[in-house]
Amino acid sequence: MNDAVDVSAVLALGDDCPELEEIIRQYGAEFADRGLVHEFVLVLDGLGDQRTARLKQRIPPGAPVRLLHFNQPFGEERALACGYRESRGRLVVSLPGYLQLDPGDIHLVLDALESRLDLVAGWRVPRVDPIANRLQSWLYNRAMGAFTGVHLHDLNCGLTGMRRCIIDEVLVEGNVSRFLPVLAHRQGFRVGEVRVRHLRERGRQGFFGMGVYVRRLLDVVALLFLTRFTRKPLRFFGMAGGLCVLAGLGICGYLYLDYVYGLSQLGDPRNRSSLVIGVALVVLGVIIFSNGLVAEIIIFTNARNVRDYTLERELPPGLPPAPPGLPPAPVPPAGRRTEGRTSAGLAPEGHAEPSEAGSAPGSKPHDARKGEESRAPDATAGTGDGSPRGKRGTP
Amino acid sequence: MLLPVVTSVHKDHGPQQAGAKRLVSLSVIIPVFNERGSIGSLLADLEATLDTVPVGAEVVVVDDGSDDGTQEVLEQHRLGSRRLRVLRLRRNFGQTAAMAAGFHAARGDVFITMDGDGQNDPGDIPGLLADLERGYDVVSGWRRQRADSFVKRRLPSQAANRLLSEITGVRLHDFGCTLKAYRASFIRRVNLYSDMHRFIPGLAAAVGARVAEREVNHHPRRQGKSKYGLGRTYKLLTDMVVLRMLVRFAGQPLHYFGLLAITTFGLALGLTFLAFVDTTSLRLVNYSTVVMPAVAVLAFCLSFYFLMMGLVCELALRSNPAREGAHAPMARLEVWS
Repeated sequence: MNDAVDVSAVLALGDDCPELEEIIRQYGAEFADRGLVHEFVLVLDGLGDQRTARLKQRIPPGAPVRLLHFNQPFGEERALACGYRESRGRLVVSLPGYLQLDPGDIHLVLDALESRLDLVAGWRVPRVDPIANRLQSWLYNRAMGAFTGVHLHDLNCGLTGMRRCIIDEVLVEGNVSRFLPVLAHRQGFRVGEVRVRHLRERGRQGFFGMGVYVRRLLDVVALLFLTRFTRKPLRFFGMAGGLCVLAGLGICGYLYLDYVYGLSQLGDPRNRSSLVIGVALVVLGVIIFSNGLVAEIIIFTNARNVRDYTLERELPPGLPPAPPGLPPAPVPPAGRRTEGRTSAGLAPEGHAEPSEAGSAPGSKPHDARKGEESRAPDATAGTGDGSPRGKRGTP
Repeated sequence: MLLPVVTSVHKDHGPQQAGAKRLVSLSVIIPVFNERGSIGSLLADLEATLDTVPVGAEVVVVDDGSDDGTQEVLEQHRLGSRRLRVLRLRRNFGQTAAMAAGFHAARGDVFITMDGDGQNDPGDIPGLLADLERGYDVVSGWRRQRADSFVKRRLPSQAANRLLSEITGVRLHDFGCTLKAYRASFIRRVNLYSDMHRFIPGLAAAVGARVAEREVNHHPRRQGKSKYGLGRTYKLLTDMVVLRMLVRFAGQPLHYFGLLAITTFGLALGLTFLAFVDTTSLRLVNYSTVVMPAVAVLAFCLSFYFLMMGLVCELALRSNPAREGAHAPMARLEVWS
């Protein structure tokens, strides 16, 4: 059943979406044109009963729609992440909540996904929104490119397409689904952009409130930390803390020299307020540094569940193992692509190994990695009950 | 027949004699990155050696995102081999990550890691296996006759090895040698991430492995360039600080931070003393009412901060469902019958 869906279109809806019917009809028609079995996954981000009822009336009868309800608004990013997890398609696209883009352009995205790319980000050109919006958007994208080393033109485009493997291997908890292209690229997936036509912009014009920028900035900080220092927090904290300690020691050292040699005639450092500043800097530096140590302990403890690499494929030996007097072990088809599967997920179904041919295959050692094996399937679990659950590790 | 978990809590136990079991199967793990020129002959040598080894063996080559045609060479060998498995990573993730990928995929009871550049000699494998059969859990290669330049590679390496020996309490001459043999049960206990492969012997010893060392051959590079050099000192230094903490205190962080807290508390008491007492006459004096008391208060704050940190760490550790496996020492089971 799950394999039947080719494309899932995920929409995070923060309002009752007046254009929903049009969206479903138009995109549905485009998907049908390609002969793809599709579904729409609508995540209702805390709409409440009335608006939910109104929204339900806008769903065309017979359309393949699955609804996920949040009881309270959690924001677009987390709604999208939830929608991705509960979607079942081989390919997944996110769509903006109104007819912002030309539905025909979905073919560009699907073409790219079916031929060469793992993730496709939309790039709205030419933009039709006011110059102020375009300017901040341009600045934002340039800054993000510089920070993360992944240069994309339009990180905020509502249209993103991806293969299932991205959701299984890249999607992390938190407000970072917006940055999925960046994370995917860093993990070695093939990421690209397609130009899509921008029909109109319904969002807020001009400048957003201060809070929006602050929140976005914090998300960026989280992202930077996630992409650069996740495994080695002390390299980050150690640098900051070390600089603080050095500055503090510099001040204290000067005070000491001054006291011994009387450089400035200001007398005993115990009467001078700069001593407090120096010592406070040292203390601050030590605190920052030991925060790094704490982070290291947490990482080390959880390292069993993190994986530093993503596997493109795994190929067994070309010739079958031939221990004398034993039946040949089953060999999986050579050259099979294992997109989106981790090695742990592959291990149990692998072929019997020559040395273990006479024993119970893979009983004990694999137990030690149970935590990892149970990780792999959770994101693919399309339970079908449509309940919004953000928990991991419950296949 | 799987090898029982045979190890000891104390690493200074002598090698186990009577209970040492035959090794059952072997995985040779080779991370490679752009080694088109040398991987072919290495694999040929390796297969020849493995044919003589009395245990079943597989070779797991992890292609760490090579883009120089290594892939094609590997494919050619794989199609003609009974034991070569090839893993390809999506991009270049670094040697540790590649090794971790190999460890996750390998199925043997014993893991042997090798460099893909042909500097390690497959002929050393039987010796390493013999050491494991004697009862050691980790056997590290020692490139006594290193075929590298003295100033650029050997001198910094000697300094690093001395330091690592101090920090981990495991005396080895050559932590950096990739040719090592492990009992798989220990590797599955050691969490491997970000540049940690050098520290595996130390981390394994911290959970109770017996570590030994054996001299191995070292060839000069036949092809290609070294992917290492100087200029990673900062990373290595922070890694060592972390390692020292992990080796001694990963299971009981409160001890680490508690010690720091007590030390700082003593310092704070000393500062308080200095704030009110003249050191030469030992009489109460009236300094600035702000400066020295403030300094003392800062030190007290730091002391309590350390204590709180230790508690937070304990919390993070104890609330982790996987903690059982992570830090608990492995004990050697001896059965009398």
